[in-house]
Amino acid sequence: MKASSFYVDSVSEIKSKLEEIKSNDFKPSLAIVFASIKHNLQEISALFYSLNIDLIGCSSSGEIINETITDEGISILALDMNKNYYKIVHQEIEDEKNYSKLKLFGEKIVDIYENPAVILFTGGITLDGVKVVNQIKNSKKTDFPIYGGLAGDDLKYESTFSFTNKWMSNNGAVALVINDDKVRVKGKCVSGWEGMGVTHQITKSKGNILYEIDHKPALEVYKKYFHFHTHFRKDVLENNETFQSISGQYPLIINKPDDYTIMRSPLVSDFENNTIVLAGSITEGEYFQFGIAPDFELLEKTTEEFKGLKNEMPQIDAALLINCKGRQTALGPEISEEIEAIHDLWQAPIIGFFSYGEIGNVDNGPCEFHNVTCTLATLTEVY
Amino acid sequence: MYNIGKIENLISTLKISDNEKDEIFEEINYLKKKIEILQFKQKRIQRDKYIVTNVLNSTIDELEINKIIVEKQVIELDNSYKELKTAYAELEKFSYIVSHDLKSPLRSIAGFTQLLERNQLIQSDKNSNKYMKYIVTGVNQMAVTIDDLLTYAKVTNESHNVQLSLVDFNEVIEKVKMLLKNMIELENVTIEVLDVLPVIFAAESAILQLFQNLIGNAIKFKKDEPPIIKIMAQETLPNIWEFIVTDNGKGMNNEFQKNAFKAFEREKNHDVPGTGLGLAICKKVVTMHQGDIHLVSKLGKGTAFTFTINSAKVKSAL
Repeated sequence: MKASSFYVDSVSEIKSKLEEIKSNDFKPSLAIVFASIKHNLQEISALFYSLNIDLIGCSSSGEIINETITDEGISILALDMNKNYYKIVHQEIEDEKNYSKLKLFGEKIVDIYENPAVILFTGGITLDGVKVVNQIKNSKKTDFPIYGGLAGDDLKYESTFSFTNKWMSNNGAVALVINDDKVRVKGKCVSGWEGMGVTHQITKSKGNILYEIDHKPALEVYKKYFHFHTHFRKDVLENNETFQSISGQYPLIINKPDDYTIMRSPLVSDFENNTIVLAGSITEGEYFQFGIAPDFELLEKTTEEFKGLKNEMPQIDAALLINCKGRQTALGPEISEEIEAIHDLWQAPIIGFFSYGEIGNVDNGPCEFHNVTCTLATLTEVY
Repeated sequence: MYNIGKIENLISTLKISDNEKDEIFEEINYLKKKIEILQFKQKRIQRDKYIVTNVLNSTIDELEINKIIVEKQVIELDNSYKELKTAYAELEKFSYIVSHDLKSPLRSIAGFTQLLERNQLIQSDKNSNKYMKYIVTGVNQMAVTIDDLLTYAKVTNESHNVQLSLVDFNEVIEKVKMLLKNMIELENVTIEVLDVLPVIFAAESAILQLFQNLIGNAIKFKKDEPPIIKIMAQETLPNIWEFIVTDNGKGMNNEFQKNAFKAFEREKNHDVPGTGLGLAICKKVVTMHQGDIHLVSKLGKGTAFTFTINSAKVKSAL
């Protein structure tokens, strides 16, 4: 399978760029697109429809193109994947009561191939990533690869989109279902974040709302740890702006019973009720530590982890890189080194975006919904 | 502080080729990027330092509080343990004394009742005769209970002050056969010892009691056919001996199996007399020898008891 990745600043450039990369032995059948909400996303959909190229994509909070990071742009991966090897399925989810629709979505996905692999993008600020992933997972009895992420909107937290070449929604999900026997999808989520301090217990929670930590109101615990007078303003953690900028970088590292961890980033706080809304649901009774970004060895750590994937898949056709927006905020310019290092491993076309949540597997855990990870999904045709 | 702009201006005035200038600018750009990263890291580290210090201080506070709580709990637990130990020791002593002291008045009651039974005067009244029989049965039953209680209490007392010696388990079985001679002959019992039994350190009287109870039970809870009891022994781990005693008796129902080793537990609907202390005594003897006892039983098929004796632990207790 041939693949080509490119970047454009505006929708109007896409057509000519596509013409450029087309040749006698490369006629893209499918494109994956990550674009800033600054652009007219419907126009992108319509363009690919008119060019008869299948499309799957979502809005972003910064884009990745090979080894480079961009802002407010459009990253495109064009592939000449055999049309029999993939199907694109989308689902409007509308509101929380309608999660049952996801069941149908899941059934649709797993019925196409005997061994499916899924690239999934979901839009919708209020959508619970955990529910989306779990509903899809539950439609098949065995584990299967699901990689992807929650769409971004340049940190505006207003509206995030997923789309195909004839559908777009700010409250839906889109899946590229691949025949894993023909195009192998292999990936990994890496966080690098480390736990600090004692282990705490989630003593009261519902969905993605955290009420109590160790039987104390959640926000009070946060204030105890992250609210201080020196160096920063005295009113830190007393409004959502400061809450986001501080607590977002110190996520919850939750210990799962099967000996792996998932992370949850705090999004906003309800200052009246002392509760915290997380970027994904959690389970009452689970134990966690507050996480902190490592100082210097992060780069080596993430590269080391992805080297493991490289050993499994020495040659790949293309890859998708979904990196948490919170990581970019916490790591600053360092994140570009991480992305360079990943690109250097394979030198294959990679596109990606900065997300509000990632889907994939940590170590040997099953594919799940995560926060604060760098998630890579490689695509390789099997001959 | 460095001034990149100044350096760049200086370079542009240097009399070197454009290629060389480009190379230098490329290096400068690389350094600029590195500096940017370092500055960002420095800022982040500074903030992280505050937060980590905060988290650690809070953690230390919490640990201090927890430490105080745990220390308090340890003292409380220790006190409760001491109280319990004293209470238990007293209770053991009490049950021993009570059962011991009850024996002699009971013997008097039994004796005098028998005297009365022979008395012509009482015999003339037919009701009195009936009542007298009830009294004798009651007294006999009470005597058995007191004997068992005494053994039970004795095993407990001994576990604090164990009399250990090299015990030949083959001899133990022979002694049990002697003790149960009447029963064995009456019921036509076969006792098969399938292995050569060990000679190991143990509390002899307790072990004797253990086998007496297990073999006695196997005979008491027999089916219509003559009882066949098999005894096996094997050193499963160094110094750990596993014994198996099986019978072809009535077996126990599932419900009772769970509680079989508890004191005063008796299987319902049994016509066999007993105090419900036999297996509790066995359990105590095995525990005293740092072992475990289990049973597998099937109604109508029989029961198999498996227990272990840790002779190393017993030895080291000497």
